[in-house]
Amino acid sequence: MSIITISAGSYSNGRQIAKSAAKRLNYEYVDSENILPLVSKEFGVSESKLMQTLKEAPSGVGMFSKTKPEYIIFIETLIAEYLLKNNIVYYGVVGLPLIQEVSHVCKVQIIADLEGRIKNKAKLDGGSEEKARKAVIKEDNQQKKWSEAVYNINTTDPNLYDLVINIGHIKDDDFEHALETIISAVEHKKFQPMTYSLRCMKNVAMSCRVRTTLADIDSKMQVKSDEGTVYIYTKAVKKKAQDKVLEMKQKVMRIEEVKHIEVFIDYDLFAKVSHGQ
Amino acid sequence: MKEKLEILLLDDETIVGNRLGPVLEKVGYDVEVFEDPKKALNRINEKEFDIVITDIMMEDVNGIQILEEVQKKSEKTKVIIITGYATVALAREAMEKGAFDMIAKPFRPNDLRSVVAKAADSLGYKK
Amino acid sequence: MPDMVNPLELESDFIKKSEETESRNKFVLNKNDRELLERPRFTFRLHMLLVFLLFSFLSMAIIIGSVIGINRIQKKLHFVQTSERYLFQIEQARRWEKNYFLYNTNLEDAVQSADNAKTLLSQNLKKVITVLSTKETDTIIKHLDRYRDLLQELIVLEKNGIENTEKKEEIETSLRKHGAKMVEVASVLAYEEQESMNAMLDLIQRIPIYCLVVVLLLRVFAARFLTQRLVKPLNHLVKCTRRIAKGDFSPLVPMRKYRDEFTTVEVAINRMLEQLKLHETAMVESHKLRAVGTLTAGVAHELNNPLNNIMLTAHAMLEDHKDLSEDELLEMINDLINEADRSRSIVRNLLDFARESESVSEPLDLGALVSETIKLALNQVKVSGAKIESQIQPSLPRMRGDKQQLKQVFLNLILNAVDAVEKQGNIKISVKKADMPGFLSVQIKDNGCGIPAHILPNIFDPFFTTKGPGKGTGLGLSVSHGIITMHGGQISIETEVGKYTRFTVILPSRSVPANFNRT
Repeated sequence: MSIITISAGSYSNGRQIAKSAAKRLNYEYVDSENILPLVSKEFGVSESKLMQTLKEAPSGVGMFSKTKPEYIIFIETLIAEYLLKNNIVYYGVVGLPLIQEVSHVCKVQIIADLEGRIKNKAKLDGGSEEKARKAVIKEDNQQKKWSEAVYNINTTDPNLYDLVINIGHIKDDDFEHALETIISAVEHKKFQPMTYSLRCMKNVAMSCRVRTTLADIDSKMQVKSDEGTVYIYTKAVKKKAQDKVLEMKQKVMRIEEVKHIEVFIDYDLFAKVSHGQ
Repeated sequence: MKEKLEILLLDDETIVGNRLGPVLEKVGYDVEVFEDPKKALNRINEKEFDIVITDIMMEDVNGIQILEEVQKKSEKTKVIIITGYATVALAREAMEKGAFDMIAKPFRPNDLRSVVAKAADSLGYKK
Repeated sequence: MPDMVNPLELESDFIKKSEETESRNKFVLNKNDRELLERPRFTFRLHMLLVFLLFSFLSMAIIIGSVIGINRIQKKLHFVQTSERYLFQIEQARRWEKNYFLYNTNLEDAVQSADNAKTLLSQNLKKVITVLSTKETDTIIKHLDRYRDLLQELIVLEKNGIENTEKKEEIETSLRKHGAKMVEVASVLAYEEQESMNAMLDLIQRIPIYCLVVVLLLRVFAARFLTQRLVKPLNHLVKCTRRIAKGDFSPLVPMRKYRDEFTTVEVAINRMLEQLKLHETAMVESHKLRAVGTLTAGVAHELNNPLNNIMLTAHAMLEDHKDLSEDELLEMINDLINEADRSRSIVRNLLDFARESESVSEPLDLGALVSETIKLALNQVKVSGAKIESQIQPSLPRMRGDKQQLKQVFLNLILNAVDAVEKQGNIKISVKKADMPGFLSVQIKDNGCGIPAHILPNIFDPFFTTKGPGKGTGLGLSVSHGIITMHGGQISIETEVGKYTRFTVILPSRSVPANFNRT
């Protein structure tokens, strides 16, 4: 009756656990592999570019940096809209911080012993353990950088999750045990959806949709929404603020179910910039 | 089965009772409105309601306590939480303790009506 | 080259300008600086210079004195030699005279010697007058002249060949008399001068010793004086820094009648104090905003109730407006107005507290202030599920203080208590007269987790916090402590781990009479 999100360090078999959990619970399974084609179709961005966005954090410099944050918003939006349905197992990190306040989402983190993961990687690639070690550590760092750059979170912080499972050395019984734990947790009444939490999820999806709509104007704005009322927090140069607000409102009003829009503009930063700081 | 669904509505805000009572009666429910949680508790002990709608933050007695009391009295009764203090923690606590649903203030009368209808549905009342 | 600008000129221009601005700043800035700077200037450097000059002057005087002394001794020595030569000439003359009488030798030589003596005498007459008196000098000259005349007479007598034994004898007696007198005076002259020279030598030997003693004494005195000048202001500054460390940021006042190098330090410290004061107000302000942040969660939730009432009422009107009686409609409209008012007052309460305000000291009713603060925190308390009880003694004497800052202290203590208690915790607040006369006390007691002994000494330190990252800035208690100290009060704590924590704030109630309330 609810949503499970599972995230895991690389090569800790998180994806397999997520898939097995979905199968056992008779839930729908979704991850970037399912979502990216949808994003690509809707927004006309190639899948490989989207894949790249999920691996490399937008650096802020260079030609690509400007478009990458938008890709993340696109992916987030489709995930959030996907999660409006219930009975889903979602494997991935994208969008997790957005649904932190939705009570019927059970957030699971799977961690595994580093040595176990290295062995896992070596077995998968058939290469040497030394090579695998380097690859795993590199990927860990990349993941860490990515979540810090995009969400300013440390994915290993247990406060972000409802359930953290350490599957140790990744053996078959560890795998089974993790699966049991997740299934029994989700059957817990407290993760059941209710009017309030469904509304929260709807609000998240709506905010994402608004950000997607306005991504070409400002990819860093914050959006909150409640029952069709949308609050946009953005920055603008004072002179152009009026036009910007108008443009935003016109665009957002076209979204279904939007009833009212409030735009809050922060001038501070630009005042400083114009003074040559 | 009874003719009409019996609902107890508890909120220490007078206006909530004043407005929601008629709102629910109009669509054919039997509603008893309470402002004082202690009196409501007494009434709950006297009578088995089909649906209990309760606020959370009240003087003396917490809505969660009401929920627990109702659960103790009859498992069949559906408890709907209406609160201005909605948080993830509260939502999960309420669900864990067996609440049927929770809606956050402010809400429209129709929001409550549809939740009540859902509860009635699950109780087997068809309209 | 007309295009060239003299860099020196530029620099001096710049200095002038900066001095101008500085002086303007000084003028504008504050009267404390002026008080410090308007004293006459007497720098330490000048002081040192004066001492140095004194010593230089002293050594110069000693050198000049010894040069003069040595010079005079030299002159005296010369004079002594002259006197001795004079004496020798006289004695020579006498010897010739004696030979003449005994062996009848040449008398011309005696006259020659007497003439020599006379020349010596007239050459050094001035000096002789200074050593002997004028009268005595006259006597010498007279004797010498007479002696020579007598010798001349004798020669004339000899030439004429007249054997006037009587006359000769008379002359001889006279010669003997004047000769003896002359020798006597001449030896006195030599002796006197010798004596005076000896005395002077003696003096010159002793003067350096005297000087040494004087210089030594002077040096001790100067050293003491200079050290005093250095140490006293330093001690003063050390005392000031102690006072500042305790949170007293009132500016330094002039300690002496003149200004010196330390004045610059004092002015700098005053500047620093100004900055510290500014920073503290900024810190208090930011801390207040943090408290507001904590409160807004409660307020937002609290606002949901009147908003819900408005929404339900408005929708009820929308649905049923055709069937409702006029009375019912009126009741609903009144509900709408009242609930809107209620929302406004909830927001206003918070805004009143959050508003930036000048720090002003005004007469306060501490009881009312505490109950206002409780009202402010009430939502937060409700959300946490704790209970709050207050006991406020009626008609307490009034006190003076900054309303906003004191509210902040109590709010901080209450919010801390809320954090410390579990659900169903109890917070008791009492306002009453303190045991110490002239003081009021506010106690905030919770039955929460208490504070472990090992962190107790640190709780008033800035940035000390037990709350998780992102929850507290750790400025709470240190800021509270600062505010209460500034009000002349004290903040103390009693605690037992797992049982209770009690903060007691005592504040002076002076300056407004106790019966102020009744009149």
